[in-house]
Amino acid sequence: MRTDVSSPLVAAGDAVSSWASSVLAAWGPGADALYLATSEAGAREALAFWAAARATGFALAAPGAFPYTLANAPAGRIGTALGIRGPSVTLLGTFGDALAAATDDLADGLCTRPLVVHLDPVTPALTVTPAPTPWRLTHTVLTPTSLECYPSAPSATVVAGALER
Amino acid sequence: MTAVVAGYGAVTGLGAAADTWAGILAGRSAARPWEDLADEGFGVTTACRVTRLPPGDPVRRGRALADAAVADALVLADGALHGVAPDRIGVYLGTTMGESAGYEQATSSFSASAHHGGALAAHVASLVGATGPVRAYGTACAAGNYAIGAAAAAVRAGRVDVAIAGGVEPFSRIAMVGFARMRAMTPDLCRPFVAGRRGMQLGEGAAFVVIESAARVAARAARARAVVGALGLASDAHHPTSPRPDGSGMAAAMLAALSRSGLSPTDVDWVSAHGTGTPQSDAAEAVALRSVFPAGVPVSSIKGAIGHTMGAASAVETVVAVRALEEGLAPPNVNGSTPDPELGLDVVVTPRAADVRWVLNCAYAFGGLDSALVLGRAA
Repeated sequence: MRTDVSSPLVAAGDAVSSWASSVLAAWGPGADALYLATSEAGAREALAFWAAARATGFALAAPGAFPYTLANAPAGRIGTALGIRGPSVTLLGTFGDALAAATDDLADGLCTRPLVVHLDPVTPALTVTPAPTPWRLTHTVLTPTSLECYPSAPSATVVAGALER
Repeated sequence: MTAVVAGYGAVTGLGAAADTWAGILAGRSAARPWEDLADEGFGVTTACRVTRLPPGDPVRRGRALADAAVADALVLADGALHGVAPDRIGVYLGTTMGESAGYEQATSSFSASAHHGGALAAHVASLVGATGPVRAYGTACAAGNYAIGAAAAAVRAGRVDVAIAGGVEPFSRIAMVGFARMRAMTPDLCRPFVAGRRGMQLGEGAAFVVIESAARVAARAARARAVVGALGLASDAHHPTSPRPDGSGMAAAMLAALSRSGLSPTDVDWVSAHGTGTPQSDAAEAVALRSVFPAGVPVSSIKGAIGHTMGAASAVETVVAVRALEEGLAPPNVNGSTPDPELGLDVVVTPRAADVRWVLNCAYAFGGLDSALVLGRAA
């Protein structure tokens, strides 16, 4: 399959994942699974990809940009950057949804040390025109002892400056 | 506690569950050219779209597909929800693009949350009156396995009494353009595991299963149609779209599913392969299968019959696996009757009668996601 890494859409799609990976790098070592919840990941990319495809004609749509239209694109990039080979789970929802799924799977033995993340823009996409947007990243790492304090597992939140589109 | 499938429903380009199963056994493909795609300027116009449902509102196509599949599953489950407290019913749904038309027809008042998989899951929850756990998995082409595996685990752990689980994927023009521009789509037929295979074919569909404990199904004198075993998950951590050529992530998922189910590879009677018909993915999957099953195992893909239904794919494949377990038949690899000998696989080319006790349903996705779900014959 062709991928076009020079596409501006690809670069834009990577900006959020790259920032998230840099934040999570300190938390990643030892994590054997990634649970990422989002409502917006892939949305701006899908809107932009489709708008560009209609403008240029489908035959000239940016091939490398399509994978970034998927909600699990950030989890794939983050997991690769952190070298996580266990479960990679993207949920469409809130940090609580990711926490619940990770806690269930931890209790069921699917993983032993999941990195739990919520990644979304500070303000949701309300327009078809992408614009630089700050993103919020909430994260924690669960261990088997965390099951004793669910759902109050401690977490940290980081907000990026507006990530350029 | 054993989790079992009490009912199933599906809607694909071949029809409902029974028609889909019959069509696969007969070697039929739902692929055909579409005039509307040609009129809109698509270079590739062949796809496996659902004709069973009227066109309806394109922005609610996923909901319509889910409605049809869930309704059929509940009919077959014969009273599964009767007397169950709403907070003891869970909904577990997988999808890739959600309501793709919502993105394609977006205006200045667009809201992602109205169109992504969370909205579809909430719709199904409302449909069945569930106030228990509602999960929407955005794990692309493996999402069905993720949803069904999580649902079965929830039933086994006693977190819910009944789980409605599956996958939905309405036809996506975004995906049609995207895969075509990535040169991942075949210009003719999808031929999984065949030498000279040229790519995938896009489909649409939905499939859902009703999962309960075996004890609960027996107590209400209903029929358990299959056992749901464990889900195995792994990640390639390699490339945004291409799988690891050594198939190590795929193999890890398969071995995890088997191990967690208390099975060994020699217990598996049929593998429902991911089998997209793309050169790279099929090759990597073949490497993985040979490493997990060195003595060989019957393998087939249904994507030649119904196309790649993305988030619904492994849910449809679960329903087909249930049918295989019920009928004692490994279905054929539609459009793939001349498997590539270099792949070294035992590809099922015509329906194969067999003592099908255990099936491994494999599904992989962009981002290097690897999943495998064990399904077994009901006692």
